[in-house]
Amino acid sequence: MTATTTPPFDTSAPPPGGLLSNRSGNGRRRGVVNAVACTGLGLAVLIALIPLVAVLGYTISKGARVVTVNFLTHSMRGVGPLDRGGGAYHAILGTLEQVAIASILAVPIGLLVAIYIVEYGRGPLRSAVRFLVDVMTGIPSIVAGLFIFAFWVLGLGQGFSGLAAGFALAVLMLPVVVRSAEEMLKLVPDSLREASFALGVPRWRTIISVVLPTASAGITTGVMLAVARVSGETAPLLLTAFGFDAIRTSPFKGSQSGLPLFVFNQASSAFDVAVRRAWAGAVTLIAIVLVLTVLARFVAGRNRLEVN
Amino acid sequence: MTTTDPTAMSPSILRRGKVRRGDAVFSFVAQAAGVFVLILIVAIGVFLVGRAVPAFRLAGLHFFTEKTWFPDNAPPVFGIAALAFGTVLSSLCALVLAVPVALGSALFLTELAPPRLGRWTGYMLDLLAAVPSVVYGLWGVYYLVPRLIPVERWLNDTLGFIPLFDSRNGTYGRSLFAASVVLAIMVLPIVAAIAREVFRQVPRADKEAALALGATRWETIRLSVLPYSRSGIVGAIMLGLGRALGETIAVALVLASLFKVDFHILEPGGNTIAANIATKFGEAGVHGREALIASGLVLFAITLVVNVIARGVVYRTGLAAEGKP
Amino acid sequence: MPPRYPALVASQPVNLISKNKRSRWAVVALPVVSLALVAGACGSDNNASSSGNSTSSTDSRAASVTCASGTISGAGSTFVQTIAQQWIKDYAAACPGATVNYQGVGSGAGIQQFTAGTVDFAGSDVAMKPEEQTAAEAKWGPVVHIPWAAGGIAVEYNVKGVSDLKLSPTTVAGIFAGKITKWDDAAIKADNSGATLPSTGIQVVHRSDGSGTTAAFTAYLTAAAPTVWTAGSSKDVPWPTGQGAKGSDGVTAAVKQTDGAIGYAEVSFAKGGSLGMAKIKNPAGQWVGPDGSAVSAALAAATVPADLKIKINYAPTDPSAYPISTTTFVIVPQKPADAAKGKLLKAFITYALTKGQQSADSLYYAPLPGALVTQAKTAVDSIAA
Repeated sequence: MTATTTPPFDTSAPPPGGLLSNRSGNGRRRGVVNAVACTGLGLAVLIALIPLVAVLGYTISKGARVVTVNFLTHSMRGVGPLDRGGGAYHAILGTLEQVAIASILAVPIGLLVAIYIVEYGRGPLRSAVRFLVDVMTGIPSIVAGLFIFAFWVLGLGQGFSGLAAGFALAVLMLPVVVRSAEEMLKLVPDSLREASFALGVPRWRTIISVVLPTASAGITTGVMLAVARVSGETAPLLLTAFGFDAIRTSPFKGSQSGLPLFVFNQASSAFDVAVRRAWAGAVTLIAIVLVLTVLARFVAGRNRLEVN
Repeated sequence: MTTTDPTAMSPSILRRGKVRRGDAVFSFVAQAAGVFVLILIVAIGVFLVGRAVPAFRLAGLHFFTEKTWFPDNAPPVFGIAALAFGTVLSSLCALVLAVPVALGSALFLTELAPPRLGRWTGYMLDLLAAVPSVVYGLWGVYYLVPRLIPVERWLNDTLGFIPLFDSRNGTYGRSLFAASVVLAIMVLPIVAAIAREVFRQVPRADKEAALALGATRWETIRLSVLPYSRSGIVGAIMLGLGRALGETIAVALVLASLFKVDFHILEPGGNTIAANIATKFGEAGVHGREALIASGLVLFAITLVVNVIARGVVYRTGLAAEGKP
Repeated sequence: MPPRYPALVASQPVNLISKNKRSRWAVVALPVVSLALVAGACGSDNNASSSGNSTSSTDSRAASVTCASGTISGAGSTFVQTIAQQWIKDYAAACPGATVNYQGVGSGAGIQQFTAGTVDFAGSDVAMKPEEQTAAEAKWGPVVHIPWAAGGIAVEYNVKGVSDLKLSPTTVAGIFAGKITKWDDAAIKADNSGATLPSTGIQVVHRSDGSGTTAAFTAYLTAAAPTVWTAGSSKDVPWPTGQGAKGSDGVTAAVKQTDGAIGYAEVSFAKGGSLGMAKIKNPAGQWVGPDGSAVSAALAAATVPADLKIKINYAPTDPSAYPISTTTFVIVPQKPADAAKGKLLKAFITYALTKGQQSADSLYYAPLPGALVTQAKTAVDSIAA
């Protein structure tokens, strides 16, 4: 076939059959278009992966050498503005406590909401809850921080604390836990539930001892991803934990630091020594978040293999 | 007590048999948790409004027209005109940059790549979403901004006749453009992930029909995949927009704060609602905090609307609504 | 803010019937346990040994420091922030029972917070205006201004290939007024004969918050180049050009991150950020950088009234003087309501005026002239506590 012959019909507005036919005479042009388009799409993937390599590569090259034992085991108390040294121990500790508080609140409530949506919910209330959980995933983290600040820090006069930060993180974590748990519960085959009912097991026992254990792998993955994500949240901490230079073991009283907040504060400084600490903090933070994320994938990935 | 009736999933079972106390309690607790979510959303609105009212009273209508931010001055002068403008402009620029790449990569991974490669590359892209925003900010300011300056200079030199790409004083750097690039990188994995989901929903039969008619891969995408997923794509973009509007820390680090309303995105300066809250909170006095909460309320309202629309669109495609009734 | 997109989770395959529960939980437990180990490990607040290039005068710590205990907090000037943090650190080392907090929020915000009663003292580079003082005295009773540190305001720059910049007063004013916009402008060339200057656009970075550094810097511009700089002098001036940044930290960081940028901040910031500092032509016609001795020489020309609200002379005639030099005040109530806090306030400021001045050189500040210290000490002694 010759590509240059004029097609017997107007190709600018072809009937689908005409265009799709390889005999329409413009096959080579279509082939070229196809090749160009597919290359373009492949290129998009490469472009999308560039930032990942650049961000991780540059951060690790800047920060890996600065993460020392001293950095991981010391706070910033008494570190002069031009001093080297100092560390993020107080911030790591704060983040662990805040994320733990968030998880203790968000995981059980999130599971219950998911159970409500999948197992019990009916009618408009169920739809409303599902819809709002989805909408909640889109609440900016700074708004969650402002809410806890207005409600807890100012409204109830509780002041800044790690606990307040935990609340704010819980608000952000809740919808993620609900959505992942919901998806997992839905995947549990009805036949399992029916088998349990047939044995005379009450519905709530069925959920607790048959449905939840069956879905536990997926739920664990979801919870780990949620934990990884809130661990990196900075904006809510700014308004709830506020930041503190020294080790504050108790999250219940007084302002506290958190690792993302530590990185933000050090990064905002002009001093070379502070920026160096920011990079070290960033590497530590990435390590925590990525290890959790990759492990979560690993949990999920293993299961796929087992199913096969 | 039960039947193996397929409707066993519905709570009607509770009423058909004798209601067990355990079931009643458990169902009540679960429902209470569901109601808690509703209360939480309402509470967020209520508490923000409660704290923001004094600021609205103080500023009056100037809250929406004033560009500067001096809420603790006497008399206080503040408004979100410049902030809201910067928020919307930077988010839109971010979408312009991110959406083609996100959709392109999603199409490649779902339609063209071998399944195994597609899955693993998908995981890699998801990792991009796992990087904390403070890391993007730090990286943005120390790595990206200096490397963007030649790009910005080139844009100005070649496209400077368009106001958008005109840097009037020949300065570049910590600009809305740079912030948009960082936002684009952060939005990309989200739009790409949802788009992948959307493309997977396209019925096999549609694609096979196109292929059977002799369509090339690209024609299949253009004639059966894209039309089928149009509203899902719109939803994905809207969700990306919601994310970009609310991003705080990365923007706060990358952008040189300047309260201005103009389209010269290459010139350093500009500000967004969220970034302004992060930078001004520490030094804010009583009025300052109320003013910041008021601006946060506006942000909450905007993102709520965007998200509700986005979810509505996505729901209509049936993507998220499949499963049990 | 990491995204919270549930579909990422939702798309995961699930194991419906888990065969290998134990190993899965091991995978989950691994990070939990390792994180718990981090948390349980002995973290330390003690950074005494780890401060590599600590500038504290360790030898003078023990003796002759009057200790008081308790907690006081202050806010204000970022000009004094670097040395104040050093004082706080050294004072805490000498007096373990004492905690002093200082937040560099800018002189303007510092005075506001002091007036609102949220802090015990304010740091400000400029004396309070009469109306500000009236408002503060309504809260605290009589307040006193005590000069406690002196330093130069560096004109810091970041221009590729330029390392020894010289600027005359009219050129500085022209740059910050937006009248000079390129680094190879004739005026800059004239000041730097022989140097190769790039054609990069000049990016002015100024403070976005109310700042005493801004007040002093613009006061200098007004005094030295009144025809070029017409925007006046105050803590917040209507800048004709440039981008704003928060605090001296923010200005320095912005200059550092932008090629072709120029800004102003206390010398310690420029040093800490490894930025170049322009040599300024003083009224005697000499090019002088902001060294401690040059700052001290300039401050010798200042007039000190009885209320210690120093009037800086921005045209010192001494040929070794760096003309953009200033002092900064701590503003405290004459009769602190809380006697314990008053005691600590008094002890801490006394420390700053005596031993604290020894930190000045190593932190790139200038020691206060001896006569001024004597006057300042008398003012401290007048605090009733």
